[in-house]
Amino acid sequence: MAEGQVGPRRRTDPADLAARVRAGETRAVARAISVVEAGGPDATELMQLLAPTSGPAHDAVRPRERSLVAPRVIGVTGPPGAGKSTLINQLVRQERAAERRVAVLAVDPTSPFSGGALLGDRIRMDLHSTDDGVFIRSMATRGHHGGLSAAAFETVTLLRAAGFDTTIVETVGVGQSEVGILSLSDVVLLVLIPGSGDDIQAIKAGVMEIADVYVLNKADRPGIDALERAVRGALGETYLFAADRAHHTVPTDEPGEAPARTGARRESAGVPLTSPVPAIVRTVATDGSGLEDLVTAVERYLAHSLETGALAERRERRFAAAAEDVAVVEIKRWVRERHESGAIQPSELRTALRNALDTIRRHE
Amino acid sequence: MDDAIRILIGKPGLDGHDRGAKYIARALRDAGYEVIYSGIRQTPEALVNMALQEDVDVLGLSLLSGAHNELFPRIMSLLNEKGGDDILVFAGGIIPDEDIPGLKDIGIAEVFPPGSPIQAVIDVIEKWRKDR
Ligand SMILES: Nc1nc2c(ncn2[C@@H]2O[C@H](COP(=O)(O)OP(=O)(O)O)[C@@H](O)[C@H]2O)c(=O)[nH]1
Ligand SMILES: [Mg+2]
Repeated sequence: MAEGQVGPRRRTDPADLAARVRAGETRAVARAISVVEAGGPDATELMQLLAPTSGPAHDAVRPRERSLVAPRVIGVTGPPGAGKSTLINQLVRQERAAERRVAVLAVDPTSPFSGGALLGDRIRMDLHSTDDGVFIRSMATRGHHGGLSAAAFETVTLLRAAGFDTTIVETVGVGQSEVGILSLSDVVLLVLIPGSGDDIQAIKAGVMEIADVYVLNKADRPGIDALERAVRGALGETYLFAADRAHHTVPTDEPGEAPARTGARRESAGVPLTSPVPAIVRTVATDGSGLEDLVTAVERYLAHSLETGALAERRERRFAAAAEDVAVVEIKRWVRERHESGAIQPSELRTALRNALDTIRRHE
Repeated sequence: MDDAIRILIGKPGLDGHDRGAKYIARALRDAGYEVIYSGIRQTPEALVNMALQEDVDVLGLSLLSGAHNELFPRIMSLLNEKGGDDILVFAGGIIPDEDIPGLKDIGIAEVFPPGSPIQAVIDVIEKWRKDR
């Protein structure tokens, strides 16, 4: 099958598909996601059609979104088996109780051996399989011609166009591209569980920096107090370190400065310390305990970042992140193709690439 | 993968034994497909919703309870009703020979008895892919 084509079934015309996506038709939304995953010309046409109110370019500046907390994107990450899917099942229940339409995008790794994937997240989300206000989609990490972050970005964009108030994205959050997906989120939940020392290492290694809310799940298990102490300890260090650095601060708009996410990093970026220190919430996802606290923490974070402008800033960054992802994927493919027709020198590639970019600039 | 075929392995009915279904799911993953597993005890409505939301190319139904003559026609008619009539459907599990022609009549492409080699399933999927 040719690249960019969707499965062996019949093709749907992008214009027709876009109209049906806007009408919120499940079948069309589902097909549109496949089109976006395939990343061919139909994907481009589809996303352009969905652009006037919610396409990538408008997504960054859509004024409505600056004044509303919904539609919002909640990222949920953490190690395999931490209870992310079970927790999302409960979060969906809470969102439905608040009469919001919810979409879930569950991302799982593709097997490096076979290229196949076993996507089992929705087994844990079975409270909602016949609720029309809930849409659940599983996505494998590989097989995206435009890059995973771009596929996820466009999926989130079209889920909004389809009228979902909340999109929840689940990822294991280990690989680079999965961390990229998290940059799609308005708020990131990191799910940790007691009894695995590895988690704390992962936290210290930086996964922690992307989280806005720490969910200590499986609070019914021994070791939960130790986990909370460890998380508070690691957070304290991060904050102290960042606060210290803040004295040697760089201007806010210094290129390459990391996104301002946490209070400490806002300060280190030369912005007044306004964001709250990330919340820590204990949950038992299997019975729903702690869920009200979690929802409160999420709502507070969103309300706060809306007020401080951090939310708008984050939403503006999404577009750049997805665009860069596309660029990298396309260039890498081109380089591979060049190599297949004989090895070529890096310097030769550089010249070819610069010439090509000059041509693009001239046509802009 | 350029041509990732998406497959839902669905487990309708009340029986709680899903070793067979999980085996199929893993084997198809190992053959390079993107496989979604529904979990046990799904209603026809839930399975059809899953198949449509996941935009699968193929739906594999695994059933041991003997309720295939009630559940499968319901699944097939819901699929047709909701625009999923271009999905390849196959079935596996404990299904008596005399019931197979009836199931094929309602649009189930193939019925695999217990112990069928996974290659037989792959062959059906690949033939269908080629014929499109
Ligand atoms: N004891 C206990 N088990 C849980 C809890 N949350 C999830 N689990 C179980 O942990 C396992 C993994 O859950 P899952 O949601 O699939 O984790 P994921 O891989 O992070 O999505 C399942 O068997 C769940 O039932 C919890 O709070 N307490
Ligand atoms: Mg999961």
